[in-house]
Amino acid sequence: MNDIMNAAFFVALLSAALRLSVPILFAALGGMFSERSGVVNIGLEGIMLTGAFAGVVGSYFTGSQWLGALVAMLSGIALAALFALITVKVQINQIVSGIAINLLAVGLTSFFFRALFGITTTPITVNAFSPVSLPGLSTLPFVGEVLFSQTALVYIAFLLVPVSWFILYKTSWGLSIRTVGEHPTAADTVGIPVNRVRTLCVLASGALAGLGGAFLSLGQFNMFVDNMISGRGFIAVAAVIFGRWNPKGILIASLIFGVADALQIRLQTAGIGIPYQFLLMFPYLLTVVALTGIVGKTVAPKALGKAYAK
Amino acid sequence: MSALDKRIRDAFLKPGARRWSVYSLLVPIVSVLLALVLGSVLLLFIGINPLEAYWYLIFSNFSNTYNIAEVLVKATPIALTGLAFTFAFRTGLFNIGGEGQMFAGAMAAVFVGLKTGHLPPFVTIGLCLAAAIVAGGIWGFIPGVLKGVFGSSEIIVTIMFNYVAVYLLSFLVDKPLREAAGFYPQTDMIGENAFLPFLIQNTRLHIGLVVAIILSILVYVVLWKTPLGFRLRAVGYNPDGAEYAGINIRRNMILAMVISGALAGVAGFTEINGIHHRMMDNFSRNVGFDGIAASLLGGATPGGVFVSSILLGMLQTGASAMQRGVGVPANIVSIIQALIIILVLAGNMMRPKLELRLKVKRQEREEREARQESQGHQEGGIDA
Repeated sequence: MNDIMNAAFFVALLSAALRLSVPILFAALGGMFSERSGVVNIGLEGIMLTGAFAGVVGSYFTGSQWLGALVAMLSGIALAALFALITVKVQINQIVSGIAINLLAVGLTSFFFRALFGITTTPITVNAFSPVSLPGLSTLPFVGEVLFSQTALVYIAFLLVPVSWFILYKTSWGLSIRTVGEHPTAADTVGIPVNRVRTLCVLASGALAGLGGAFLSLGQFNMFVDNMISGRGFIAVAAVIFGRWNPKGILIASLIFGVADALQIRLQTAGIGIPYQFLLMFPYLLTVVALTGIVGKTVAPKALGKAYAK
Repeated sequence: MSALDKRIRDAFLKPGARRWSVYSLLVPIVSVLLALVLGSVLLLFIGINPLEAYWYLIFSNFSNTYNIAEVLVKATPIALTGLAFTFAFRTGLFNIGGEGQMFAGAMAAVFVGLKTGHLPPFVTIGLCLAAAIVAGGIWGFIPGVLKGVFGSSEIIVTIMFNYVAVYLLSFLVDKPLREAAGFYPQTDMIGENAFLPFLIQNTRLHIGLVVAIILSILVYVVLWKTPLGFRLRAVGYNPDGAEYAGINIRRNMILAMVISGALAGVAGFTEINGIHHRMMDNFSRNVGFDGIAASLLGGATPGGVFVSSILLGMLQTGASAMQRGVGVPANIVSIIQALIIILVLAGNMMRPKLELRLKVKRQEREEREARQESQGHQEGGIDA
């Protein structure tokens, strides 16, 4: 017990928690834009998987992890475009479409991975992101190690929180997005192109979820394996709800889920009383509790999940 | 007919209440074919002859009794989780939790199978089935109650509960129910008396298929031939109208989720007692989602679900043969399955328009024929 309760343990734990919260944060911020405009995107899981795959492919063929991340975003946008086409334009049920997108991503990534690299036993290695120590800040005791010795994508993810907040609450775009999600008919009356706003928000969610996936394959595991997202996309959906559809809440939700994840990895080796599987359940149970509204009211955008036809 | 019945009936006979038409069959068939065509583009992309690949995909299933049986083995749990989705869907609910409810059923079945496997087959199998029904029912009851009492989205709660079930299962096979030998994260074998009898010798086809067929018929009867089913569908079709007619929406929603969960729980029972005879991490993944696909493809009717689950079973067993035969990654089936879902739903969205066009054409033809006929009469009149 003693040796796991010292400072080094906490530095390692929090540093890992921060890293583990990043893919969730990326995808959840994307999901937030989509949901605030009225489109439930449970396809985040599949889009992240596609991003993880495309990131590795991009980095492999260009030799640059940055171009890999760009390819991941573009592939995320491409899959999100299909999702937007079927949900916003054709107006198929959003939940079922999300399931189809997830299934499609599982098939496409695994199919093309084998088509490109054959059936390999050794994972292919690519250029990945390595930690960047911020000069000055990283030498600070404790905080320096936890906060300022991370990969570039971690900094980008956390910068996106205030940026998203600003876009959502302080710009006319943000106002349009929120109006479209709350009251599409009113938005239409004042001349906001409802379905175009929704499409753009879905595309944004694709870009961010794709980047979140690339963070896993290029910043954490440095490889692609089938189904490597293993539920993180759904945790992101949970984080959007638990974070009550705003960037600050989503940041807190992602961090809580990141800590739970970091803790369960350590519990597996430390062998303490709590089975690690219960920590893995934690994000999902917390979200269910949030949905009951027992602890504070959780109010979803009013037009969430409803297609808009004039 | 009482005033209440009349109001419910009115709610049903409103325009848009879907009746059977040629599109009920056309949409799924065209969707499957179109999905295969789109899949063949991918095959061409990696330089494989689609016709050769699809030959394996389809005809390998019929090459011998074992393979035919294997299709039905795959189809059984898909049919059951498909029924589960259908039942909730008809009550206006999206139960995405078939996966978790199936795992709940499997956990209960394996637990009871381990404890009572020495009892006579009839007793232990009955107990396993009952336990699976109860466990699946509970896993559906919780989201149902949260929906009924707090208005929590059953969609999100059932998705979350899928993962809760996955990790609970993972915990059980890791610690309390881990095999006596302790090597792998899996349980011991359940007692042989708890194994489901096989239908055909030297295949894996077990009596679970019969269970699925019986439950398909039962679901049809309950939903379409009983007052209970009438109320449930009224809630699904027009909740406001149903409430106005005096139907307790909350109670019916909770009931639908319990029955839906129980149906998926039975899938866990057939997988444990019929196929695996033990529980391991990661067993039968995605069957819950395959069930959703089967339900959508089958137009959310028990018969349609059953036929669709056989089709999905064929695709899945055929895919392995295709991988062995021409080296196509078996995962192309996930792509085809996803495309089928999208195309079926898109087809259904277009259906009202297509049906309208069909109707207009038929009317035009009838008018034309009527005109010709009346002209004929007139001509005849002149001749005479």
